Amino acid sequence: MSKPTREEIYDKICELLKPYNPKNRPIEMSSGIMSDLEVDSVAVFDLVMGLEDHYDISIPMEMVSDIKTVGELTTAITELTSK
Amino acid sequence: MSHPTPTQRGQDIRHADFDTLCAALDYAATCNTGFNYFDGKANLKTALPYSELREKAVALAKRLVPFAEKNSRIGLAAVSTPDFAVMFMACQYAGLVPAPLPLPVTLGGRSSYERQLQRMADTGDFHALFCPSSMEPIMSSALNDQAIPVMTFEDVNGLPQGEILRPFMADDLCYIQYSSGSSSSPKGIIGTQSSVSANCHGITKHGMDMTDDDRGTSWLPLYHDMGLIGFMLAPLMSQMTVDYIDPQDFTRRPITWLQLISNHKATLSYSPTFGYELCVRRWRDDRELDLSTWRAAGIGGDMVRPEPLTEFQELFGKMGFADGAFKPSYGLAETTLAATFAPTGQGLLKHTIDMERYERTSEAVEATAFTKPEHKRTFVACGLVLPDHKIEIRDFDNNVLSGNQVGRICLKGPSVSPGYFQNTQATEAAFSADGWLDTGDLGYWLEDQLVVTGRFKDLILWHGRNIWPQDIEWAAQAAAPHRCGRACAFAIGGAGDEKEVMLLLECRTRDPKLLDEIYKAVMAAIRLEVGVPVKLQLVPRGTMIITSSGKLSRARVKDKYVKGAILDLQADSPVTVVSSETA
Repeated sequence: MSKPTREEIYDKICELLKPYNPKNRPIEMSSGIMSDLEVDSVAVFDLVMGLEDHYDISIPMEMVSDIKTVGELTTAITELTSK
Repeated sequence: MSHPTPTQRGQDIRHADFDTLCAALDYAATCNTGFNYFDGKANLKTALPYSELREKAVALAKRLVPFAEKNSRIGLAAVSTPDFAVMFMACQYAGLVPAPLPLPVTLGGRSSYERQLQRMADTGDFHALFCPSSMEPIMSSALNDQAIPVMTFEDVNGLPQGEILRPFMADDLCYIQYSSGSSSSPKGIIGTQSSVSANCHGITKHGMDMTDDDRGTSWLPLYHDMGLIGFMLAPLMSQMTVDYIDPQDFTRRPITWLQLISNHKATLSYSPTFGYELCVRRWRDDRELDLSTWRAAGIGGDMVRPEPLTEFQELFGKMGFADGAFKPSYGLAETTLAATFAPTGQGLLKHTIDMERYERTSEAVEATAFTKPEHKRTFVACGLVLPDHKIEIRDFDNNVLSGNQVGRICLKGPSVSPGYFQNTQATEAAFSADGWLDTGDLGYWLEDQLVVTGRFKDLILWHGRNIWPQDIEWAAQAAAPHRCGRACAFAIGGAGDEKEVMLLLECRTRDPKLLDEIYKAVMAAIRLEVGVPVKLQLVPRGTMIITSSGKLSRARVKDKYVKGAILDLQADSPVTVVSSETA
């Protein structure tokens, strides 16, 4: 698989977030994953697992604890997939 | 090494009959067994036979002896990797006291984690803190106000080589463990060589009846007593092989836990009720499992809730999970880990009592056909107290109760900790001079087995009735028509009978219409099932305060509420973070 672009990663995150966004609110890079969208602490692990499986990466916990927004998640995955 | 360590020791099993952890590892190193570390997809990452663990721990201990004086505390990031086991055991051979530290676990949870770590460092008086290099920035930033050096595992392995060992002896300390339970400031529970040996002997010999054919599997965090004692120290002291997955991998892929049990024919594994619940929720029916070797599926760490366990039994019974495999047990870090175990093969021994009667008279009387369904509640027996240990159920005046009378669970025996590290006040509050520990829990006897009914300190007294906050919380979560988060109940206001019962419920939504539906349904259910008028407030997610072991801290949530720091989603001017509507 060629390295995904930042835009592709953002689109994938939006796709995985769809079930947690029943009212189709606009998802921005600045949207808080747990604070603005209806993602609870169990659903977050579904999301992280979906991304890890799709890109065949592992997001380390110390990185996870720093991620609050969709933009930060996009950046983290961009970094991990470019290695 | 590309193969996991085998189940068979190649030596005679010894049930933790050693004076020290070092003596136990010296013997285990002559066996073929050890620790195996797997990834989230059940592939082996590293095998660490006990022989290799000893070799590495001894080599590192020679570097640690010149580094710190005997009995210095070392904060140790409790990662589920070979490094943690090596560092923990190196401390034992070097006469240093390791204090396993929790890890950050939630998305965006860094700042609350740093505050927690600061409080632990304040109470632990650490000489240094060891962590993987990936965690060094977080640890350093948490401790930036303190003069405690944060060292990566690589730094530690690069310390100057010394010549001698300084192993702990039978009368020495063993570790400091940061207890789950409590609230305001974390308390470091002291483990000694003798308390650890006594408890591990009880666990392996009497609690689990361990044999040559036993093999453990664990996802439990190693900063918690159930993971550290139950699945690292007790196996090491009885030379049993353990297969680990990281707790983080378990929460993402809980079925991997069952897959490992199936792949390696494990016989012993533990979890709080929610772990079994998570497996049921995440099961996708996409694979074959054989759980028939799993003879003791332990339950501990929190209240044993029968309903989710019965669901697990029904679902995985088809994959060989045996009827009597569940092993409810009771214990707390203040007694090292374990105090009671259900007899092997008993499974869930349920006792349904009349709650109305209980609340009036503090007696656990079996419900009858005439008991109203809303007054019934089912508890699970947690088994028999370990040999050489004593449990008494006592009332508020320290009178010993018997039979079905509910009271405070008090415990005495060689597994009981000497107290909390540098915290005389808390030690005197829980540990009496005559050797009895007041556990802070409530329970009663069902013949010779202990039944635990709740945390004493959280109990709500309302008009002379005893109300369990758990009851209110569970009823609320079950009744909510839309998915809700955690609930928290506590009493506020005047003394005694004038108390008002508060219930906070985390909601995923901010839609006023949905909130109104939740409010009405929950209030109706509480009125019906608990029969106590509560003041319900719907609050945003993330409001509740959770301890390092994932338990709800009611005292701290209450404190936050009293200070006015909790939002009401149904207040007149609701706070909306994202809204497409115009004002």
